[in-house]
Amino acid sequence: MKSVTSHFSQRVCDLRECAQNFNVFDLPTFTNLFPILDDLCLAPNTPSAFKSQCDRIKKMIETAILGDAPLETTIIKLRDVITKMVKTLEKHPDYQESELKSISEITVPHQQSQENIELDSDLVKMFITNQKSQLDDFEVYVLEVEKGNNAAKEALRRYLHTLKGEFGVLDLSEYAELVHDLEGIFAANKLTMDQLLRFKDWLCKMFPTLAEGKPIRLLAQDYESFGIVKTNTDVEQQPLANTPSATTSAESKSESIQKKINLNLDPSFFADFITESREHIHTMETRLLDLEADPTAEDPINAIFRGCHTIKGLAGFLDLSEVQKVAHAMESVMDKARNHQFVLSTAHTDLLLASSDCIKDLVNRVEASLRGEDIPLPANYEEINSQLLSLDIPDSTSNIQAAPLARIGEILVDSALVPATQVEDALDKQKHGDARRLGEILMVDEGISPRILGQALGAQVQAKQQAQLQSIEESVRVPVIRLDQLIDAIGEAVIAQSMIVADSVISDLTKPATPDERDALRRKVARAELIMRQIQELSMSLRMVSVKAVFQKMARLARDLSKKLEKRVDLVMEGENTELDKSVVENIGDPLVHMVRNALDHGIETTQERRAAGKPDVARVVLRAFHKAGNIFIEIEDDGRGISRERVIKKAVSQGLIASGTNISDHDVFQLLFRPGFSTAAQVTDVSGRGVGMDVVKRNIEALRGSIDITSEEGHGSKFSIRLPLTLAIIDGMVIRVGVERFILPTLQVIETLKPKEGQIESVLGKGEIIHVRKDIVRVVRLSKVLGAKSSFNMLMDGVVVIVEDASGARCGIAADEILDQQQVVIKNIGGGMGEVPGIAGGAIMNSGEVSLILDVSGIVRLSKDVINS
Amino acid sequence: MATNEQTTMNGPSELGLALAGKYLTFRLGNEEYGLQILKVQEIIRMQMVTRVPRTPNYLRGVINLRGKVIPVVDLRRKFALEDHEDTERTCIIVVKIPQGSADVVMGIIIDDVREVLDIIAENIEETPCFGANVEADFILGIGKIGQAVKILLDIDKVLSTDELKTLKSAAGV
Repeated sequence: MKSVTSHFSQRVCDLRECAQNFNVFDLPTFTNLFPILDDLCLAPNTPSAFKSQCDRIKKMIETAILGDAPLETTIIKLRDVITKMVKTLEKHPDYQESELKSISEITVPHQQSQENIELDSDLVKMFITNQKSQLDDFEVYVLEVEKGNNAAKEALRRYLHTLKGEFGVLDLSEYAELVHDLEGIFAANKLTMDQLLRFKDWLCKMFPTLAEGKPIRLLAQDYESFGIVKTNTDVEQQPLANTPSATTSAESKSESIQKKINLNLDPSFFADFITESREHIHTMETRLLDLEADPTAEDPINAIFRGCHTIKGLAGFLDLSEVQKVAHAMESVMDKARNHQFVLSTAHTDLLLASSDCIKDLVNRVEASLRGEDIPLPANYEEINSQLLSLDIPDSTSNIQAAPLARIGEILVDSALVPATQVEDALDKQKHGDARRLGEILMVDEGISPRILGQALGAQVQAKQQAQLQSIEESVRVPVIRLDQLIDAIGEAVIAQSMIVADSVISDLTKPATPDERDALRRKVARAELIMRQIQELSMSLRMVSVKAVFQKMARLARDLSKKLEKRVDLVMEGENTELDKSVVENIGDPLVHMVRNALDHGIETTQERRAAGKPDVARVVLRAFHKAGNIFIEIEDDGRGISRERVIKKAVSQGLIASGTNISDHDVFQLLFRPGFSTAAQVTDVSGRGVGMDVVKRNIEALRGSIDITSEEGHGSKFSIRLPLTLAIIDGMVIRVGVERFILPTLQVIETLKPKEGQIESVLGKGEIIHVRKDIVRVVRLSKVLGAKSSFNMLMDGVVVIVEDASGARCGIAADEILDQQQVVIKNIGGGMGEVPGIAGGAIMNSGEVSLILDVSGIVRLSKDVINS
Repeated sequence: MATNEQTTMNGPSELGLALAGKYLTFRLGNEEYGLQILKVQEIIRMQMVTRVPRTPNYLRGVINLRGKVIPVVDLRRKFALEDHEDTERTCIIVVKIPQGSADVVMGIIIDDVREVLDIIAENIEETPCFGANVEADFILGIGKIGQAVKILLDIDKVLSTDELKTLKSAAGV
């Protein structure tokens, strides 16, 4: 043994020297390493882990020499690895299998070194911002290649190559290697598009964590899903929990298990224990991997729980307290998960995998100690224990949406999981000195299920993460031409202004002006106004982004879905170059996703059904965007089975939404689809059917001050039409006066104004009033009642009535004292401190500098109904 | 205390150390209050306030602050003090407070602005319990300047929207 050891140590010293001699300009300093490494690997009793380390080093050097990775950074890493190897060996000159094993555990599984590298966060952010837009292109290329476009193939290849380089620059050599492998397989034409798409999805998932400086590691299954076969065993090692280099702690914690083994017990007990636990551990590992794919699956959770429980029991019987401790900690975590006290996420499964590794390790040590060897505890033992025990923050993948940084109470009430009264009670208690967290109070006192709380908390965490994510997305790509135009316009504005200042009338206001002079001044002012409007339009156009990106996302979604649902669908895009304000485009994505899914899931029939109906096999879904009358329209039209009016009515009646037998228009029938919880789907699939999608869609669109309309013909297809305002900030408004207060009505919603005549107005049931407008009867809303404004008139006939129509087509007549003016007003959000005020769409700053309130017609209509009913 | 000394017998309390600093003092009715200076953005003269319907009584409305529309709270009404006509000394203190993830700018209407005072830790005491007009929640502590006492307000709590939300849900919106 001794001779092997000294030879071994000798080689390690050589290794060290070599590492110190690395020279970028002198390649042999690298290649000298190879024979040394070979020797080390050939030495008898070398554990495979160490061998793979050597392989890795060799590979690093090769990659560096071939120019595929920057030499400088490779040197740093090599030195790191080698120093650690050497250090450990120096402290224990006696060759021990366990020591070397701990080397490979402690030193660089590649992922760990990444965690220690400080990624330059600015570089990373820039990289990610660039990548985000390129990823969309990437997807387009993949889809094109699938259709047989060869030019796209070349583009793909270039993209992969650039990506690899960028990963290299950022020092993410594992990712760079991954892309390198992908490149190779792609060049050999062995890479399927599905694998590439999975890679793209993985990239999307990975970027946010990368931005936080925590690159996620690659598992063997990731490589598999991308089609890469990795023989490198250290990749498949399940990585350890986030332990920074634990070289020192390994030595310090040298409590030997051997001391704890009760030698009075029959050794065969231990043998049984070892075999059985190994079996359980194996099961746990497999189920943990299942869990990683689906963190909410009950079956794996139970299986893992049982595994930990059994191991804990066995270990207890044999007095192996270390094993017992870890198993117990892990068991409690799984128990909580089992009882839905919190939901596991991938971060947790990492920890659990690490724990099961730890247990595996411990079992190995028990075995080794039976042979008479003195073994220290695994390096990360304490770490894992404390992490398991401190696991109490739930994480969730539920469907609850939480507004960024909403508080738990709000989330619970908003998602209708908990009645508002209970939340208020709990809040009350908190206010009166109860120091517990809201969640606890709700759970204990009000009996709210922990699962719901877990979901809400999870949503909160997610929302917080989202909010953090948003901080990256701050930039917009603007065509240079627009910037130039804007700068020119501003230059002209400056000139126009100086012309006004220089005008003879202005320069001496005491002198009376001649009509000619006044004319000249008026013209100059008009010119300035013109230029100002131009600047306004140009600056708002800077934020315009084409809908192409969003439509592309739909194309991908449609492709995936059509494969999944086994329906043949052709997604056609029209007008994808139409431009919208950036924030609108961002918010339109989710509703469109809902609608495309609905269209494919419910709207399009199966191929057989289509054939039977005489329709072409391939269904057609059209995504259309166009400008019209100051609005942007986005339509989704399909030639599927259409919406059955009868089914909707039937469902509505059964849900108590309308009385049976009521006569409703087609328009209203389809509007019923937007009710929360409404769905005529016979089955809930995981694609759609829960009845959650459409009301969220409607709300999102209304939040953008838009509207959505449905038309459909049974058997032929449906069309969903979204209308969005073009300009977000300025509207044409009609200023009306009620008493001393002024309000603004958006002109687009005003149908007509009239001065009511004798007999035109009648009261109904003594409560409401209606007005006859030609043939129609329109309800009258008195702003004085609804908004508490004091009108100067009591008789409606003394004032005016403005007929307005809201987004859904409902009309009402607003009674006001006087119409003052029609002007363009700048919409300002009413200060955040007040939250939403019903009936008020926003504030507008008038010429006088005062604030006027802009009325929200739908809100006013709703309020008036409430007022009448009260 | 019999003397005019500014120090107490016991030295600064923990609360005092936490709250020591500069405060903008103002008068509301017969009482004097203090606001942490870092929260104050500016002080402006009383101007036309546009009433916003269906909001709590103490929300007088909104004003135009250099192009931005901000809500304005009538502190008298908020503290349920007796109502008063605005005088020429009435003004609006514009504060910036955190709400959720962002900072929100709001205005508060007060009777009379005084001065900025530096209150040292020794002079700050805990709020005694008095079930008076002002809810104890809103008070950070009591500051002593000479013989006078200033009530140090926790403006974040005063202007928080929790109550607004419960009010809204009560209104059935």
